[in-house]
Amino acid sequence: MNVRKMVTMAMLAAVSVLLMYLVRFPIFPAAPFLEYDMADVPILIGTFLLGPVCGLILTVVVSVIQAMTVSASSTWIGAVMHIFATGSFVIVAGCIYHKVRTRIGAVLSLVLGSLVMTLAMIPLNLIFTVRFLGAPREVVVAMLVPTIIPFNLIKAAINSVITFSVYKTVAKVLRLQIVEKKNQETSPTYPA
Amino acid sequence: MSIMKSITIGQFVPGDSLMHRLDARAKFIALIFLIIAVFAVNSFVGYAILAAIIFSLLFSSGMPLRYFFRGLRPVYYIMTFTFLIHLIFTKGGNVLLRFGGITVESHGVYLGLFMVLRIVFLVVTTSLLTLTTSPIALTDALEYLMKPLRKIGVPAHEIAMMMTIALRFIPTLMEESEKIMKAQMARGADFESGNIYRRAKSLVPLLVPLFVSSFRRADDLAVAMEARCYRGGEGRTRLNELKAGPRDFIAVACTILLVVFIKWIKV
Repeated sequence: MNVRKMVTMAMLAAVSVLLMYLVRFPIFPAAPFLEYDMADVPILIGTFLLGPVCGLILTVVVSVIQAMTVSASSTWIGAVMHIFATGSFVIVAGCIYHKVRTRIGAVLSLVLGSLVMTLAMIPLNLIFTVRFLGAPREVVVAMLVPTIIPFNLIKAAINSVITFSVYKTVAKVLRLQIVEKKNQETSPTYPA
Repeated sequence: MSIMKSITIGQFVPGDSLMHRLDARAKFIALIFLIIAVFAVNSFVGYAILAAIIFSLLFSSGMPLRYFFRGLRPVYYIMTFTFLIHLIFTKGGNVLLRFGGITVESHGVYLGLFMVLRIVFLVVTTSLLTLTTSPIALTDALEYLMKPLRKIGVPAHEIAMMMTIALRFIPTLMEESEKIMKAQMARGADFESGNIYRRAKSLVPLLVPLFVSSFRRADDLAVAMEARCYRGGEGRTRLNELKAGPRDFIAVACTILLVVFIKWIKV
């Protein structure tokens, strides 16, 4: 892994944690612990730029930092759930966009990624919320359709829309930056 | 949206207690075993034993107890929710209250309290690690503990390095984002009203400049690192080496014994 790639990923991770700090609000007033956060947007942008493997590494980095700092309260359970949820999103979206690098490919990858993440959250909630947070199984099952599934769908959908509207501009700027660097390297200006 | 009141990232409080001086790796492993112990317990007697141990650890860290309980604030919702759910839905034992069609039974109260205590223990033990260990020491510890995973192709050093860089730049980017936010507000941007979708969408003019400036910083940092001949983890030396002494092994051994003890006496 080259240094530039690694540092870019580190910055994306920093932005992700920062967004988690800045933007978090509950979607359903009835379930205030299901908070929307934007942490997935930089991770998805990193995935589109650098591929699914880097996206997965980013997810791990962000989740661990999150567990150490912002939401130490959700402890390691939150981090592990985040890794699995966002990880499934990132792998699906990254693999598709890596193959089909078009606007349609991006839309398709985000839609399928959102669906896979929502699906992945069902067993995860049944395992982690029941086993570790102690909510009775029947209650979690009862909550699946009215809250947990729509929550994850809404969250993934909003993050997908934001990623889609931000990615093109950001990628263009990054490419421009690299081109600028190359120009500087090929035509150095020496003082007379 | 609350403008960041405190820019401190993480919760680390510097100090010189026994807990502070323990090796970060030892604390990390000990925490894992403590968490296993919390899950292994299944009676209030077991929790009393754990509470005694955890409280003595909290006192030995020499920090005011409210620091630990501050970490509980964000989980109040989950705690009340868990308690109420058990109160209403867990049946069995004596009927304590009858309220229209809803009955509160003693098993519900018992299980509700039990689960709330479990969450308290989980949060407090995790705070014990994050309050007494600097994030940098934690990432170093993680790098060390992830070393075996390198055999299956996990870039342990790079992951730890990314965490360190990210932790270093979060406050910087936070300042940056505050500046951008004020600049966009001066242009009439509205971050606070509208439904969820509108609110999230209003952040796009904040995100683009934030990404652009973070990429610029990444570029500068990459040049600086390359200029200093950074070339990954192989053969790299450190300013602060992690050193494990006898007390670190004792600490880990104690937590393992605790798990074994709890399993053995079945409390």
